[in-house]
Amino acid sequence: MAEPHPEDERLMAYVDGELPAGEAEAVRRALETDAALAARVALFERTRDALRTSSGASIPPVTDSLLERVRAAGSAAARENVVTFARPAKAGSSRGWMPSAIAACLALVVGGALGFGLAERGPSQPVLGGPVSDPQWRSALDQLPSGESRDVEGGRLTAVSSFRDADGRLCREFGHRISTGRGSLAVLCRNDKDWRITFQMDVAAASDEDYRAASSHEALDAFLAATKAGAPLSKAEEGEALRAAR
Amino acid sequence: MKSRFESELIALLPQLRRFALSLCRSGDVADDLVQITAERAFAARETFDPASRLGPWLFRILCNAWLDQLRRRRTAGVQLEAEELEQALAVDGAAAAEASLTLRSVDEAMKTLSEDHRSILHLVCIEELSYAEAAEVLGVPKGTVMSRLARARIALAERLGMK
Repeated sequence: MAEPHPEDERLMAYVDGELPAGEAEAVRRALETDAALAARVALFERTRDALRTSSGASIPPVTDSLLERVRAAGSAAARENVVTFARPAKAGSSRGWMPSAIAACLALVVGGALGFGLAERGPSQPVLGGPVSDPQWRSALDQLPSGESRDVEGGRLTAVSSFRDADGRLCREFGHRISTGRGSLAVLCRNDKDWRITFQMDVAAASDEDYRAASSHEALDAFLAATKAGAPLSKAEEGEALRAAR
Repeated sequence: MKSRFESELIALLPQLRRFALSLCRSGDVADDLVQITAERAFAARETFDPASRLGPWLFRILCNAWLDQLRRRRTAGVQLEAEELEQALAVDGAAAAEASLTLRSVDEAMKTLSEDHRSILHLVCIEELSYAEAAEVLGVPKGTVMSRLARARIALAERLGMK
């Protein structure tokens, strides 16, 4: 039963009413004579029914405090009388609600305007868009597990998370502390043999903890959302991905 | 004076909270998630096409807000114990099915599924979104929804000892 059946998706779509009429009729006829197919259909029906009646389906009450918080947010938005930066959806646009923080952020990524002034940047610090050549950085990218930190020449690196971007490339979020209160956050993605920076911003961070417990990194969040970055990899997945990439 | 958008959003709060709970399984975190979703929804309301359904539009915002939360966790390994558990159970499926590891309760079974599986099962089988709507919410192609959903239901059936 753990074996996938080649017709699984079609049978499931039949159960969920997602097949066009002609195909649904064909499945229905096949079920009359094929017991194995019928058993498979039953599996999809029973799981669906089980979920409908599970406690996960019961509607939890909304607490008064949540209701109040939402009403307050609504009133605040109405008072501001302005839609924060968002552009109206064009007809047929599939990304109608993209907040403009993303648009601003993408402009920064492309223009490379963020980051330290060149005069302050040491020779070993990677430049936006370029491949990471410094061996200490590369070693950290290739090996340092997320959640850990390591001293390098020119500062301290903290691995924050690993994830896959929309194209399936392995990407890592790193913090780089230059000195107390000064650092940057970067997203670096792996391309064949290189790591390249796809996002970078200055942060005022007093300790390694601050990179992980980011209180407001809206520009980073907006970038990750706009580029459809995947959820962070688990420790096991990250270890595997890093080993495979080396 | 409440706008119609606000009234409809408030009417959907119970479903939003239900979805949030299925993702994060903590009442307090779920409330925070719903509040963030509401704030972002109000900020982006001009971009909502009133001819479309508000529910899936809000679910999508909630999904992205949840991803943002995950990225802020202190270590990468914290939130995905369920995935590791699911993999551990899958290793010896035959023995698991017949021994006392068979999970009779759907809720117990759901807890052992990965987040991707839990959310797709919730969106389609509990929220009753179409495959196309679920694809919009999750930002993946419809084909991905179907393959993920089929695998999720099979995994659930296994946990429940269905034959």
